[in-house]
Amino acid sequence: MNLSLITQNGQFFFHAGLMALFIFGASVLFTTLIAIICGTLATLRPAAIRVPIRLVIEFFRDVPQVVSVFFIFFGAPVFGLQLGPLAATILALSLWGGANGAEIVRGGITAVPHHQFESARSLGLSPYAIFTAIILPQALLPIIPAYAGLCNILMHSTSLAALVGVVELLKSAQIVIDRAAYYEGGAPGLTVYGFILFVYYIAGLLMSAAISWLEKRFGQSRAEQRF
Amino acid sequence: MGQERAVHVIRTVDLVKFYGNVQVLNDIDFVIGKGERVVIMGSSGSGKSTFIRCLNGLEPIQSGNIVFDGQDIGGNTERQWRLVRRRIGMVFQNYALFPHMNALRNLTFAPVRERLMTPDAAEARALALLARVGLADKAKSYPAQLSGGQQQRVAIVRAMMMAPEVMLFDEPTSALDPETVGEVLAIIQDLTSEGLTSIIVTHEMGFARQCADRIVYMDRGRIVEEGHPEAFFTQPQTDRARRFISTHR
Amino acid sequence: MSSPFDWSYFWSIAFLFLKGLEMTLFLAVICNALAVILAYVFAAAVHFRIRVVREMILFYVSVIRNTPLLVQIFFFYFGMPEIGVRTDPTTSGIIVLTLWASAYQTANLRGGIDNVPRALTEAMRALGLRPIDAFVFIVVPVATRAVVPAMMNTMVSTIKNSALLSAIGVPELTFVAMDNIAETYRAIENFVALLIGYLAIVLGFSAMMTSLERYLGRGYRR
Repeated sequence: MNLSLITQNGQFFFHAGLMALFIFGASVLFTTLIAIICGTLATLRPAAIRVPIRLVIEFFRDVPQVVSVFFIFFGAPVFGLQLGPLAATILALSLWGGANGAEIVRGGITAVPHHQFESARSLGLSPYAIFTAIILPQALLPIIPAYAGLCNILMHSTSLAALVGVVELLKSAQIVIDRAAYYEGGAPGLTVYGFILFVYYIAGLLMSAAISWLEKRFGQSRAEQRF
Repeated sequence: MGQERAVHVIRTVDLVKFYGNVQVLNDIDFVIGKGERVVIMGSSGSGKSTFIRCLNGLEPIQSGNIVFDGQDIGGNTERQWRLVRRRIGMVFQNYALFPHMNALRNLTFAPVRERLMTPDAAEARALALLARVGLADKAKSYPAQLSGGQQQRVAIVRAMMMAPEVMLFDEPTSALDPETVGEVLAIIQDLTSEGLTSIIVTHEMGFARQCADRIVYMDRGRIVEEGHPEAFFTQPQTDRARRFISTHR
Repeated sequence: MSSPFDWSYFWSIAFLFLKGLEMTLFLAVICNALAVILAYVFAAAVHFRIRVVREMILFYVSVIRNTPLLVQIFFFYFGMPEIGVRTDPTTSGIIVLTLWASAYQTANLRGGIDNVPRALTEAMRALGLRPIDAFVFIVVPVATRAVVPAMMNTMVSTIKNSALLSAIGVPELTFVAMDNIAETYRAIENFVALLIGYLAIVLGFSAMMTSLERYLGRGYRR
């Protein structure tokens, strides 16, 4: 073990961590937007809207995440879309997350009892009001656990950016190890990759704690609404 | 009635049971003689289910003795309890049949697996018992394919497979539809009519009156009254028992 | 770039893709099979509260599930040789992917075991069954049936995640495609082939599992 590898490169790792955090935040943001929009559209009746969306969702669900990253980065130029590594990763993760999230949202909306639509309609609410005020809140609360699972995967997926050259945590580890291997002893690989695992582990525990707090809060207000 | 019999099958002395800080059983002294049928009654929370669950070690006790067949088993280890449980059958409120085994295999599994019976002997006994409770044609049915009453009948004969010396019934009809309660009670009465020592926790007044040799009435973790069913139902000695009888009639 | 899709090139890489497909299928079968076997062993050790072993397994499951698989792959493949454990890419890949999948399968199984109705466990005790018999013949079948869908999801994830092994040079589907692209710069044909490969595996697996589920469920439901 050669812990000086960590301490000497503290600032470098810190910046790499911020990069990972940025990829994570951006993908979660876009994932959420895509999931709500596409998940909702997928519940609509006209087949012209429903079928293509279901197909795209199915595509991103069946293909490995890393393949969609490579596809956006190496394949998009064929369609005239030139993206840098960072933008390509965020776009790929967002599309992947959006597809999986849309499936979750769709499930949540279909699970809302039909009489909720009918009673809302009988009150004379506009379709927009029915959707945003009645259906969406009921659909979103029960899917928090599945959504949290998706966010957890997205957090781990930030490491895929390393494969297209973004200097996030994994890539920073590679760089530090490559530099160290020539003149330093110890076990740079185990030390530095172990350190990255540790960072992700702590971040994962923090996120779990945040999610269970969220669940408890919303779960409670929901239980109160019941009575 | 039971006291004058020479042979005690089970006797408890000063049995005490806590759930955390809550005392649920308070100095229970209880005796059941060979071949006796005792019905335990009491409102919910009186400790009656907990009490019979202590008798086969499903619930650990904090102090007191449980004497079974002349031996104190109150301080048994789980391993020792296992041997006792093979001699004490138990029927639960919610049947608890193994969902992935058909009725026949539910009956034969434990005795065959634990090498207490040969597969042939177990199957023969199982089929005979199933026929006796009117389920001869259901041997190959899975629990999910049986009604609640049918499942409970299977559960009863499962508990009787190893010819237990004592049977414990923990509210055997509470989870059943009102229409099927009678059929299960009739089966219990029939199977225990030949001198099988049994302790039955139930709310069924008619059954208790007709079938029990003795009623034990529990309240707040104590035995407050016991006696012959006629005496208990016509002249209860305590206010609590009187109120209980009048509300459950 | 006269034609966007070159059919003759597409057919010329078909053989390479079949080799990649073979490797991906091999990884899928071996890693999933080993992972499920390990998961039962781990879940049993946790269930019977074997001292120290239980804590070690719970820690391993928690670490695997809370860190990225790609980092685990690098940690093993580039880190372990430093303490004398040197394995080729494919062996390393099998080891890491198996350990990854078995952590998730252990968690699935533990969920199923914890949810076996209390009434059933009491009935087993009341019948005087030995704990090991109760576990093997009652707890495991009942728990397994409840978590079959979750275990299948994990298996599909394992298949898709085998693509990450391309990063250390395991010659599976994704590696073949990226290798071709690096050589010829023909992205679109390779991605189409890659897509077909994964769709075939994932959809084929799902179909197989659905029929298995139906087979297991027979007689069980009313």
